[in-house]
Amino acid sequence: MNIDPLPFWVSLRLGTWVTLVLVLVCFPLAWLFSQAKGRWTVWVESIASLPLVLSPTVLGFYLLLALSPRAPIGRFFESAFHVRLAFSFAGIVIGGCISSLPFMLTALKTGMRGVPGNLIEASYSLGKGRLETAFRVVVPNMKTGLIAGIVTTFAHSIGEFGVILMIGGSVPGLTKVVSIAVYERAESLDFSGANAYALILVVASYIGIFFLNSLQRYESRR
Amino acid sequence: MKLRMLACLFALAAAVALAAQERVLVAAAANISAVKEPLGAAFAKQYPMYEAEFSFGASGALVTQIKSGAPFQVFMSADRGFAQALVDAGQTTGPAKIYAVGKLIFFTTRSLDLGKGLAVLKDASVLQWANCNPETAPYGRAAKEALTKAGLYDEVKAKLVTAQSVSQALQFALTSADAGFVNKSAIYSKDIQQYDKEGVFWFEVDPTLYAPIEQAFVVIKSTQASKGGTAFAAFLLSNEAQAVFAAYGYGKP
Repeated sequence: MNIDPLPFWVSLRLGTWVTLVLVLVCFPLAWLFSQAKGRWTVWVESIASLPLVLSPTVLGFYLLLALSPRAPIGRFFESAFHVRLAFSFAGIVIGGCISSLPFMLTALKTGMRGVPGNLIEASYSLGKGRLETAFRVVVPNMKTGLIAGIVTTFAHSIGEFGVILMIGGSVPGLTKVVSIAVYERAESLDFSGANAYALILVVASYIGIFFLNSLQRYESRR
Repeated sequence: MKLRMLACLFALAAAVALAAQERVLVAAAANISAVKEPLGAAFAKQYPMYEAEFSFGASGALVTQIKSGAPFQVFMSADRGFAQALVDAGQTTGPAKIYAVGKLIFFTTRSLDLGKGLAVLKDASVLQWANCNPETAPYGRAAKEALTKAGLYDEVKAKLVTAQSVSQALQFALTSADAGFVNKSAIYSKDIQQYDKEGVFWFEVDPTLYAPIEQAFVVIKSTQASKGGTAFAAFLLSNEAQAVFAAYGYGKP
């Protein structure tokens, strides 16, 4: 039984990229949703939560079509940047971001709701703008939410499977992530190989969740 | 109200009529999905009391499922080896029998110069080519073998995207990959009729470059007594089934 470390490396890189991109994308989104009171927010929020309930194969299917060089998005990237998104690392990062978006967004929204309203009001009444209030008042007061978002998003993208199965193409070092390695080993009856990958994944996930739970306990005791 | 009652009764009657037909669960290699309909129809005609229901996957993947107790009655492999694996495990009622010989083709939807043969994969215009996992899919193994024998594999493997079954390889070739290795029977499908021109969108890979894809089937031992599996096995070797395979480009066993 030989364990190739490459899939772990790809998964780690995927998790890091997805988490980074989603922090940047979800922060303004969560801020917007927590501030906006219009009826339209329900519509938009529901779209943002869709990946939570949709089958990853549904996402994967539409991504496969969208990233293809025949489709407008794929064609644009290929002609403008000479980048092919399908079966590429960038492609699985896009897929991972869409499927993990609700995890980050929910965590950040919950975190923001936990920030006392009077703190925000105080900041406004002291003449601080929206941006300054967001960064100097809200962010420092929602650390748990932020960390929860980072940990769940990272853990979820490490375990990403369905989307990558459909748009990844199992390219070693690029799109062959741990979950795909487990699947391929199991399919070829190499159960001990599958077990080795899977076990490492279980232990790593447990450590992540354990860390998250400890942090939440610690925060609630304070 | 009356109408609704009638509709319910009708649905019930239909369900009863359907239930009267015994289902034969067939685990079939992905390349068989191309002949699923004509094969199922021919079987239904020959054995009206049975109805074949297919589940598709890479042969190796299906063996894993069957070994883990998946309730299939017949396994149609894409090679002899995976069928034999079940015979060796004592999970079949008899030996593996060959029902067809598969043919491997090179398939593209782009305008590639197919006159170059397999070496076209070296072209700069080919960014990605698809093949199915050689570990679990016999067609993938054949393609890898052919490219290795032609002395091309090491040169083009950086552009390889791996599919989990031969139908996913076709799906990749139809969407994003520039070319792919698939089963010849696929081009008979109505869905890709616009690509059926030989020499333009596909060519047969030289059969001397790979070991023949001798597709074998086995009847799985099951706890329930069922004659459906035996009937389907007899059907696969009958003239009617063989005519279907021949019409879809398979070679004779």
